[in-house]
Amino acid sequence: MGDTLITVIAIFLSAILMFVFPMMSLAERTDDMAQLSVQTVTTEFVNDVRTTGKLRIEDYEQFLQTITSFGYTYTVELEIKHLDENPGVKTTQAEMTKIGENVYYTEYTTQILDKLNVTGYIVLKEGDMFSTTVKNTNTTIAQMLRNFFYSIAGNENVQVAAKHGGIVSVNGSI
Amino acid sequence: MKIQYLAVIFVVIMIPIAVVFSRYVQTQIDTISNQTSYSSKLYDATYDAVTAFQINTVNNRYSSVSNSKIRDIEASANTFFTSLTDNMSSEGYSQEALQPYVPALVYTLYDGYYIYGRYKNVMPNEGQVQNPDDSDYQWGLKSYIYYSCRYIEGTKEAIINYTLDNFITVYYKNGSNYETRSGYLINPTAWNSGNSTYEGIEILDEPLREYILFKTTDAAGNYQSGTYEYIVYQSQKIYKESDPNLIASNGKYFRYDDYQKSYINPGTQTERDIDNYIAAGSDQGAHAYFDEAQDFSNWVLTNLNWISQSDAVDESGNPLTMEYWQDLDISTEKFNDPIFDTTSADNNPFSSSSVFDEMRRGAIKRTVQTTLTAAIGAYNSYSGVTYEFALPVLNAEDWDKIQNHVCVMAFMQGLPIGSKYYNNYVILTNDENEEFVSKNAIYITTREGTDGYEYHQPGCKRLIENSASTDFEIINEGDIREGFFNVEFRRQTVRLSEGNYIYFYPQAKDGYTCTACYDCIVDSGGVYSVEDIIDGTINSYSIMDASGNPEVITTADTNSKFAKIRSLYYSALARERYNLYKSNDALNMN
Repeated sequence: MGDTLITVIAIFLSAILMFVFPMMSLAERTDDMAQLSVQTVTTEFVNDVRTTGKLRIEDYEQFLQTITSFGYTYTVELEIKHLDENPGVKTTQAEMTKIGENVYYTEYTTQILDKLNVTGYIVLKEGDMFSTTVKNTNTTIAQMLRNFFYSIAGNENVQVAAKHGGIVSVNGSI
Repeated sequence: MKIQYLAVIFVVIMIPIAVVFSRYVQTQIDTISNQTSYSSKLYDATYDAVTAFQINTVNNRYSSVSNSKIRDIEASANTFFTSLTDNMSSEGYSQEALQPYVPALVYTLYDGYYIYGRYKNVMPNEGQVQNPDDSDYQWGLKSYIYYSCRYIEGTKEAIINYTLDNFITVYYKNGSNYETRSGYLINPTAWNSGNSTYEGIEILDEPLREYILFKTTDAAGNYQSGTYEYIVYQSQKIYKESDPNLIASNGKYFRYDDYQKSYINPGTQTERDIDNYIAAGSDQGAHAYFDEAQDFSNWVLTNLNWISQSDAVDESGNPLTMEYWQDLDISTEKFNDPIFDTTSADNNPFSSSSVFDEMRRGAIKRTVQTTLTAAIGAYNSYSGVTYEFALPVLNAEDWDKIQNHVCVMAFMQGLPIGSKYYNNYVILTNDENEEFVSKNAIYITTREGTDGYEYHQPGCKRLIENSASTDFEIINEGDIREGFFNVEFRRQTVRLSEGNYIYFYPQAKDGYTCTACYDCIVDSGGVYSVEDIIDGTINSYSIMDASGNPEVITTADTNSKFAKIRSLYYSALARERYNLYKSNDALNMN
């Protein structure tokens, strides 16, 4: 009787040891690779906008196509901070010894996409900031396996996430 | 064999495989992260270099003069290496260690380009070559390379130096006759000097004024300032004194030198020259630009009408075939069309779709590609690094930047990053400098009611659109004022002493503010293309006609706003280009 129980436990443990752990490790690795790829593509996309001063709908669609080709689904958040030098200019004109403070105002994904759909492009200027955040929305295999043993509570439970942003360095032209 | 032995054998085989594989993947991951991080650092350093170049040229009133330009560029190159070293110091690189990995830092300018790189500052004896082991190599600017192309047909031969716009320099030889001329290329039949119109567009010469701040103080201890009328004489701004008492005591004209007035002594030849210059009517530039361009273009039309892309030859005089151009990925669609017949309908030299402009872009690409390939290739023999340096393949977008803008290109190659070598480049453009007035560098000012001045891109929807919209207010024709070079809107600094500065904006005239438009400068979404303004037809994307098609705005519209904008745009572009210092101008004097 005792032997049978131990054999069952041994089979169970060896199944976990020989199948589930390698699979988990492999799945985690796949996620790592996806993470790295998404980070690289996001960086390239953002840097392209920063060096050309132009955000085009073709480039955005190409970017979406590339990141989804890894087999995950994502939400993509875009953000543009427009540099407004005018408050600074006004201060300087009244008080010549000071450099006035610049102000940024921000546009988010929906506003940006609305504009892109009308004109097909958004032109940025030197000093604007552009950033992109990508988070996966599906449950990856690694997450499923992990949930089998333990689960992590909370909203920000994303496995593949990438973010890149920076200052636009040229005045874009059409 | 017992199952336990099998398990042990399995583990013994699998563990090394897993470890090696994991290690390999980790190296790949490190390589890619290193690559991304180095790219960002290279980008940041290049941006710093561009910014340094811009700040130096805008605040240096002689920056277009050759020597001064070299100084500005060397300062910018130093900024690049300092910035790169600062960013990379965490990886343990010093400037000396990093420099060999930058085979070239290239500044493509108005009529040619500089390479900042390693060279030996001595001339070898005749018949000898430089010794690659020589320790005398130093870092600095190599000699300037012009964007040029040579054409031969029969006894006629011409070398054309192209630029980023429609200015060319011609070295022409017909049999035993030599001639050298330079100037702007326009359609000579389209300019009517009497009416001052170009293709029906009115060219205006209006008095120019700007606000300046001095480091000198008045009796109450306030810094002196004022709005003065100015002319550009020999590429320098000459201001007209407005105070009759000061005119009597100091003179009519002054320069803004060392942040104070530097009067031109009354009764001197310089003052008389300026008087004559103003009397000749060319003091504002726009009209004079077209007059001189017409004269030059007529000469070009008479003498160079034979030139087409098929006449181009290389350094040894061998014809460049159609295949040669195609190999360089340069269009040969207009291979046999005359380049300099600017009277034909499809050859308005201002427009980027003209034959001339296509050849200009082709010539720039050929010059940069061939000489830069050679320069980077030659670097291999004395780089001091075991890496095969080569010019990377630049894509169409990169070439577009080089052909139409002042650019800084930074190449970084051969840096070891994990499993491979780093190899990348960054090209950044800059349109706000005293080097070149690009088509996008003209802003239009407006003043509505009692508000301050506001400046716009020429394609601003508030300027172009005719009908009121719920999204934005349109600007009436009467409120549209002048066109200016974008550099004029940047903050200027007056240096009182080290660390003590005061600032002013030249376009904030008569005590008014001068601010950027929120619909085109601050947020430049939805601006119409400058090319459409040059061509004279714009398809509105916000206003539709009765049948749902975009409303077409042309100069024939009853509302003459568009005609006024084109007039201001062309006048400002002509004036600013005329006033820019060009080293090849001297060629016209003989």
